[in-house]
Amino acid sequence: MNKHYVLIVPGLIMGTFARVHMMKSDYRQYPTYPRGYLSHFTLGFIAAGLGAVAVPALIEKEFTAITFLALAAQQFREVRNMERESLDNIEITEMVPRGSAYIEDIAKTFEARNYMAIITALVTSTIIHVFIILKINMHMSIFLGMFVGLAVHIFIKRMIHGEEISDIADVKEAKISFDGPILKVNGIVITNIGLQTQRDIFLSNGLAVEIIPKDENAVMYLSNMGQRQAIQHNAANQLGVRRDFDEPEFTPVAKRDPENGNIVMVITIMKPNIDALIEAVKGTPLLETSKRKPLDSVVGLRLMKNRKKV
Amino acid sequence: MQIELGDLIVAIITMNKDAVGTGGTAPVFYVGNNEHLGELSEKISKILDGVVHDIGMGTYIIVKH
Repeated sequence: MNKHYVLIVPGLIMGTFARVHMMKSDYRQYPTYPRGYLSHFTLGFIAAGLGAVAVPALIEKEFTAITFLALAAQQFREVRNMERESLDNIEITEMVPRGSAYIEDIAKTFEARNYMAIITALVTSTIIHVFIILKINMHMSIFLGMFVGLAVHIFIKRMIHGEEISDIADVKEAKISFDGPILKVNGIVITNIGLQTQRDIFLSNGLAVEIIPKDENAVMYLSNMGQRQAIQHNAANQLGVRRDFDEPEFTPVAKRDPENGNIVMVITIMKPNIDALIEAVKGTPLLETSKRKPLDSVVGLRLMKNRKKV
Repeated sequence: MQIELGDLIVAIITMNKDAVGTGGTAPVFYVGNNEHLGELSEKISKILDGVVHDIGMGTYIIVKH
């Protein structure tokens, strides 16, 4: 049995490393530090353990042990549910909510990171085993196994790294104006603000941006309500929204220009800084749930051809 | 689970008695001048956490969004 530790321990180390490497707490404050870190570290360690023991189980002809991987998949689906539920529960405490699409995206990411820990551990132990069979020195095999495990981890990390708004759209400053009580941004009607005092706050503390999609796919991404909510949440989260819970009129609003698909967003901020707002909007992750690729469809291609003719 | 009413007119404040009828679910407050219209709307909106909208004709509505 002891010979299997050569496979299990490096796999366990690499799998856990892969999970820890993906753990960061930034402006999103998710996972929270230090309690969230501990629970995700523990789950990552368990995932790595499951991946690392798969090859030794096969060597021992314990084929039923593989069913544990199915159990693990079930377990990590539960992680997704746990994350979703937890974020859903705190949603009402947020000044500007994340929105269900953003929550789903975060929950999926946490599930995927555990699978990454399993795959990294599995690849590491498999490669070590293959090199040992090829009669290569044990230390060298462990080194090569960990090296390939690291390469696989980096590959998956790049693969699951999502795009940001800046990849699909340009973000520019927009002009806030009032037509009587009607609040407009670059001429697009946002809402009706009844009180003059509130209009003055919009004019003094309000900032607006126009998000201009780069192509038709981007138009579809940005039309998604969940994506817009995520942009609003990120902007409010990073710049500090100027509102309290009893001031619903100062909730950030993102509306779509129905003519060209551009999005205009208005937000009131304590210390307005347009460059910071543009940066926050550009850095918002593009949600998996909002991704559409109409240009890849037959209809999309036909529309593009017609446009070129015109 | 929290259940809330949305997009509902919760109060009407007006200077124009002819513009607003007495029916419906929302209470109607009559005021004498523009200044009073703004003041009362702000007070009621703060109590109800609603948004004040100016629909013209000297009438403000408070809407729970």
